[in-house]
Amino acid sequence: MRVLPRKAHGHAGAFLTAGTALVLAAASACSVQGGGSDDGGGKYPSRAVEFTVPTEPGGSTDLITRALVKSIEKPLGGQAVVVNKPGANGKIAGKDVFSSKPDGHRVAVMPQSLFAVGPLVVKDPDAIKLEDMTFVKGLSVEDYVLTVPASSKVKSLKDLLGSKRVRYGTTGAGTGSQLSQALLFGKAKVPSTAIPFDGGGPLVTAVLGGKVDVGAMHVAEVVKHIEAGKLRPLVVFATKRVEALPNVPTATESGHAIVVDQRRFVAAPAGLPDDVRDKLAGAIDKAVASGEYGQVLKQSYIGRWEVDGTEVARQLTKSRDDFAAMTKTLGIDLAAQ
Amino acid sequence: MDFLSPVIDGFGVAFTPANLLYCLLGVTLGMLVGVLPGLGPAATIAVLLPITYNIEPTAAIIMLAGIFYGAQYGGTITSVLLRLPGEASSVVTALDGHEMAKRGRGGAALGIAAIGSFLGGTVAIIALTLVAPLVAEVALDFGPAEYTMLALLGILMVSTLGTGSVPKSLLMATVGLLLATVGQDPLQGTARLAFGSDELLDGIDFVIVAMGLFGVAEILHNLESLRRRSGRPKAVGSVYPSRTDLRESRGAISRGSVIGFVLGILPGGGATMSSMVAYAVEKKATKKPEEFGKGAIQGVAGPETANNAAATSSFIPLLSLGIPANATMAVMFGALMLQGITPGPLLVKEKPDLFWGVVNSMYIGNLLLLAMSLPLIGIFVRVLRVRPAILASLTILVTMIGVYTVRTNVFDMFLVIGLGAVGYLMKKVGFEPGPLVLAFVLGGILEASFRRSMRTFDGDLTGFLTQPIAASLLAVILIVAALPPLRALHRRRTTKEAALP
Amino acid sequence: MGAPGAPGAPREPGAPGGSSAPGESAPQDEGLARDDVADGDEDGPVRPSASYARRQNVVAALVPLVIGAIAAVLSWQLGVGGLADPGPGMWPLVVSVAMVVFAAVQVLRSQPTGTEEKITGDALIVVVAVLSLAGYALLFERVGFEIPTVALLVLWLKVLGRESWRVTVALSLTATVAVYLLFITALGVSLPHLAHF
Repeated sequence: MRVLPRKAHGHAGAFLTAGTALVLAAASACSVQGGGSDDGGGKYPSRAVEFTVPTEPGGSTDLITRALVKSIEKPLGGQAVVVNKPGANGKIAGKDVFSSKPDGHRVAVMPQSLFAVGPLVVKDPDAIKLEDMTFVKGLSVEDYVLTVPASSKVKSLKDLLGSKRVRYGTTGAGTGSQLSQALLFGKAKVPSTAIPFDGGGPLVTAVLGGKVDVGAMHVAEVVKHIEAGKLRPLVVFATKRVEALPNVPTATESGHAIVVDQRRFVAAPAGLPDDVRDKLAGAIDKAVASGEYGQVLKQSYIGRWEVDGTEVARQLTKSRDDFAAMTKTLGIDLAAQ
Repeated sequence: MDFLSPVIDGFGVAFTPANLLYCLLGVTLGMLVGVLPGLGPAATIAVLLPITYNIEPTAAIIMLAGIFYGAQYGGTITSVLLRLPGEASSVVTALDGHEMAKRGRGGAALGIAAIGSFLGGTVAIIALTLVAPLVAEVALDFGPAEYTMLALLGILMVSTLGTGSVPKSLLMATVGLLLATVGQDPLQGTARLAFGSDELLDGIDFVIVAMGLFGVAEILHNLESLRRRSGRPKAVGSVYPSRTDLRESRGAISRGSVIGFVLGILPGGGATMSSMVAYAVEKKATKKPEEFGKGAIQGVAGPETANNAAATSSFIPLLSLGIPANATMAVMFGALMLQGITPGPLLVKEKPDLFWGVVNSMYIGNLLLLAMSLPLIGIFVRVLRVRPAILASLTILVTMIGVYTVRTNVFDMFLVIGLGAVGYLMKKVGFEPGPLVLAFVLGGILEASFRRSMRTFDGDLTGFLTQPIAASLLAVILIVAALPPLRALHRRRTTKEAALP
Repeated sequence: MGAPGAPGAPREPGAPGGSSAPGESAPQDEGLARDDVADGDEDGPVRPSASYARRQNVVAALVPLVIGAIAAVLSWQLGVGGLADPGPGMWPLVVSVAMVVFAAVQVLRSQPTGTEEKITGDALIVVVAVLSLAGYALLFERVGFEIPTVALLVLWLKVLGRESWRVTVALSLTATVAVYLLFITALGVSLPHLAHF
């Protein structure tokens, strides 16, 4: 919640004792909150633009947002900062940002999984709806790759699906990692147990150490381990082969039409004026075209998904409906896993 | 001696004036920001990350490593002087460190912490240089079963940390464990004891619990006596550790170095565990266990040495395997990526100058930290000379704002206030927050690991025995648990026998 | 520490009377003795009488007992599951049952240990402090941090701490500006604030 300078300043002189100060400030809070528009709304941005990242520092969302913000200040013509607001798979950040004033000074980088996979795991009447957001711009797409430890007897997807029983590691409940594997083993009717870990790092560690039979994680998290010969990739859950792993077939090629990926996009509160959205989207376009940003994407094996807002909305709706339909047909209950 | 040549080249890299400067800058900034409650090492690095954008990768990482050390020592300063532990690994430092400060020995506590940190860090770097590739794989041997046992062992140790009675410590530990279950179930994401609150759904942040029960509770408790006090500042006492202090800490520092190095390699909770284990070991090793909790210098020296050694060895999985061992290392990982370097198993081979440059800069970072902190201790302890009312007001302000910055969330401010009030009441009835806070850290690890193990073993408890490391840890647990009752039994018998004739 | 006096001497159960037992506060003030000798007794916490301490201990143990019992019921409702797949409620149930057991032990062992402190009229200041902090948190995001910060410091310094007006005003304004410069300007941390530069 950002506050207007003028109104609150008026009360400042009245602070005689601390007690009355608190009361007064409480009173002013009410008037301040509902206040009118910021500085006339003539120029955007009129102050620093906050890009809220719904995770702790260090993850891939954080990474690309920081890379983006690093390059966006010039085309935007103003300051930009990264704010980390982790919690509830992104819901906390979303709820906060999308209830703020739609003036383009507060936006969030949101993950597709919150809208497409999350609802399959937790029924939340209070969830963020697509209508709560103005989609500014798509940013990135990350694919999932299924890997086994190099020491594993499993050499191919066929071997894996021939096992009597599979213990598969996921990066957590309500993630694409869980969904992709649940769909795969559900379709192939292999008895399986999901073992959720606390994100990509811990899962990679567990697969490397052979603590689970198999795991699905983002390409970026395992490329180096595959290169070093410590992990063996089986398939990627993408529509076409992944650039970083050209020899790894897609699940579809292997006869299991499962496509699950993680996409990230920039969203603002619903009701963002078109001109502000266009200005912001234009600045993002310039920022993502910068060499530095491209370098970060390349280094971290993150794909580009720089589509416009309408396409973001279409993709979110589509993946949500697809996943729901697939789990329903297969009779998979992610929540019970 | 072929393998040493990149090591020596690394020294060349670390000793360039520019890199020395970045190292110094990092340590200084880290220490200054680390003093702010709520901004622990991970957050400090994240906050200061933009500064490193425009410098070349090796220098940037050297600076970030400096920030890391500095921030850790910054956390020690607040733990000792204000009883505000900013991160899990300095909670046990607050136990005896703040007691020392209350007795006018804050300078000695900070001094021994700096010396211990330096020695622990240096030992760990030497070990890292020699055995990093060999020991890195150990991190992979620790899976759910092993962590279950490790966490159990930790919780067993928690009960020995308090100065009060064991049942009281155990009660506090269960409260901590219960608090840790608030929020999403770690495996399925089911909401637990969250009472429909989104903020609680994400669980309670450790920093909030530690700052509430230690820091805020301490401030509230001191407020009470504020008016009765003359308002005269406390005596600060000698600023540096005496020769006796150094002699008494020698054993603690050497044990702490080893404990820290070994546990630091394990991803997740290594540093915290190491400081707890070091504290418990010191309490067992000392001839005067009754002094623990009342300002025993070993209670500061051991854990502080251990957590710094652990901080250093936690670089091993990151640099040699590409696995971030904890939140701080995750941020480092991100920082490396932003610099265009993806840490992985091949980093040492592909970028030896970066690897060894960073490793060797750690020697310098540690040395700079020691060189900077010792003269500054005299200034830091003056904080205690500030009038209590002023100190309390400023501390509470910085705490509240620091808490907000943890998750950018006002809800956490309410939580810390509530926990502060609870901590105040606990003080009134003689319950100690130490076991609660540490059990809180271990609770999450224990539950998640246990449930993962059970899924892996199909619910067969004997599955733990099939894993060699887990089984050995279980044996240690049984021995540790069985010893005190057996000893008591033995004592009773001997006294009885003595009484009979 | 190693005061030759009474280090580690077993704490006397049921310190006599309502005044502070010398054995208790002495080690506390050891290092400051030279300075604070005059304040001696008033400085330490007030030790309660044996019967008061016992009552306080019972209450203190009943609170976790009740919380543990409620948590046990809630955990049970979450679903306990089996060993092969422990449900979300199993671990909280185990913990809350353990909590009830240890709390019950505490209720039975309620004899004073000497670490209790009496809750006196002075606790009012703590209540005021807690309420002021809650007010601070309430206003923090609504009106920006500046005004609540000044107000909080004025309250704590002047009303709770009885500092002079000069010190109060100077400190609260300086501290607010310092927080702004440090967190917002230097570190770029996102605090809700009124003034934009």
